Amino acid sequence: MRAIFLLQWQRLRREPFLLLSMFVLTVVFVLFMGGTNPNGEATIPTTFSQSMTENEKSDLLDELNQLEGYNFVESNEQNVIEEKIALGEVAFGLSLKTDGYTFLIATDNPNQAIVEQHLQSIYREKVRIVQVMQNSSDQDIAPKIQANLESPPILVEAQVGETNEDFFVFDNQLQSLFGMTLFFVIYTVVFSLSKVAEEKQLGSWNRIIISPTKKWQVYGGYLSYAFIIGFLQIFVIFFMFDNLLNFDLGNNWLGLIMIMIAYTFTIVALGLLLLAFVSKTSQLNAVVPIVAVSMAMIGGAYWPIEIVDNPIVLQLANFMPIKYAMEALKEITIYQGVITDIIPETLILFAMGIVMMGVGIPLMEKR
Amino acid sequence: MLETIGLKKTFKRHVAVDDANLLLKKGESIGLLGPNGAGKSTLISMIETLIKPTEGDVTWNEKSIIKQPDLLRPVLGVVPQEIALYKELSAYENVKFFGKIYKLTGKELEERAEAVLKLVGLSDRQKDLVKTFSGGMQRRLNIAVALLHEPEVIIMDEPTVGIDPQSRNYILEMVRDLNREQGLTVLYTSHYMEEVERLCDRIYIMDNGKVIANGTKEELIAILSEEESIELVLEKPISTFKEALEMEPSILRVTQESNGLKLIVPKNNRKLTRIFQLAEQHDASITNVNIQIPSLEDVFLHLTGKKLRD
Repeated sequence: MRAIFLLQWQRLRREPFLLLSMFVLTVVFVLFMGGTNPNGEATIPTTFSQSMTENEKSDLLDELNQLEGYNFVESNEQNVIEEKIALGEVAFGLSLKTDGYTFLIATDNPNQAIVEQHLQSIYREKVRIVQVMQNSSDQDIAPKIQANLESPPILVEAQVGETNEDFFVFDNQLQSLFGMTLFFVIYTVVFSLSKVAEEKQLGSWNRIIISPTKKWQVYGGYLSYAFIIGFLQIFVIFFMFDNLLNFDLGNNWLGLIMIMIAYTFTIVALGLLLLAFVSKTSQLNAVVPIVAVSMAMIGGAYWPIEIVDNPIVLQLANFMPIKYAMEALKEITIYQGVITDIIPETLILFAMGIVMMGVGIPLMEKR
Repeated sequence: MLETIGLKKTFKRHVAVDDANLLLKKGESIGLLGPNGAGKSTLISMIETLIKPTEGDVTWNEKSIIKQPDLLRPVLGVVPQEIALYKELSAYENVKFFGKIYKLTGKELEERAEAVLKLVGLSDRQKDLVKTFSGGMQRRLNIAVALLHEPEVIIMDEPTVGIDPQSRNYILEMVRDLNREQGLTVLYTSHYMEEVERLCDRIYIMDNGKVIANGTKEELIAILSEEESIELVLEKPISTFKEALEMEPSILRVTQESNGLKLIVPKNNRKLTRIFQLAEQHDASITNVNIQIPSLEDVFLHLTGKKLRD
């Protein structure tokens, strides 16, 4: 087993291109999708109706900018915003009036729902004050409301919900980091395992099989290599983004490592299962992108699963290992969960891996 | 002693090997011949314990290796038809890896690696990557890897395919020395009749999954002792002349050659006058005539109806 394991590293040393390209692609995609903004904020250009005073504009802008992770910037021309949206420079823009708002969009964006929620709460309060003022006979109601708002009789510190089931926090940086890393590691792991298919074509597999080396040692060598290479890719990328690029992964590295181990194990098992269905490397090259992309789309690697409401897609997502890994990673980082919180996801991942390996190895042997 | 007894392998409805009996005595060199699709590779794979037969048995020193493949595996060396090496690694790294999977370690591994690289004439190129080697050098290394653990039996599946004559000669000399001087038992398949004639004590001929003949070269040629061949060199091919010859009752078989035709006729009944008459009738210009005693190639053609390299 050791000889086969070491052989893979020796071969990697001579031909590291594929592995390095997966690493670089992950970094590029994470930076492109989640981290091009130095503050990690999404910029939203905003225009105001001409009837609004400068004070009203500035107050509203301040209120909008209380939403973490977003930078609302005043823009004078609506057509400039529309042009930026058309060119893809910004995801969407806002056109604000005293009593209402309009989204300027080209395509749906996960940020939109969060911004809308924020806007709704601001405008609801505004409308309520206007209604109170209209219904009151008191001439001095406006300064009274203003005074009460500034020093309320009771200060309420509200926290919505108790678990992540009740609310959903969207962190674009972590979503991109987790999604892209888990997506690209599928390629790394499966292509590392594809050496088995290559060896079968090459004839060296037969040489190994008729040697006194036991079959479990042969599989052990390949699987442990694929596992370690996959684990290291996730670990190094997470570590790099946390320490060098200031992505906030929190301090629960033990929990993160647990998820990395469970997910990599499942992907190794998935790779083995795919290998059992193909007989040539070229077939594997065709199958891997289909499996990886569909898994990432359904499992919530490209966009948060929380914004999906199609029941069929949600049902399908339950069969995707990536969904459980994403959930567990968000639990540990965004929701600051503890290890016991991620045990269910970790166990599901391990169970999936065991089932896939249980099917994959006998199928491969049969072929 | 390695023996196959009534070996049969079917893949769904296709019978790849049918009732194959083959005996390989210690120190013997056996050639296995057959056209493409004859079942040679399947038979070899069953002997190598890579696939299980549908029926029959393979024994090593009279013990079944179907049930206990580990009886044969440690003493078996295999040279596959493919270059089963890691081309991105050096010759030495390849040899060392395959040594390790045969549980060779430390000084023993170093010594064996050096010895086999020397044997195949690659000592001075051992640090070079295999992908920089010529086809002949890769073939030699392919053999070296099979000899690392000092096997008692070696199975070589077309080990000289696609290489230059010098490398081919080097390999043949090496295999002959290993067999004659070191007593290595050899099972050799090839598409080159002259290789098998040069190396092997006995020859098995397979066709359509069956062993259709076996014996020494002389024994096999004796099958055609009642026949001889006439080679006609023609200025240009004339199809009507060939058809006319095929219709002639005194000619047993006519095959197209690159520069003319080859006829198999009964011994002492050449009817050359009749052949020349037919040539004249069909405007075929004969520039040369060779009368030959049958070769192993003729025996093969006689038995299988095909040329070895068809």
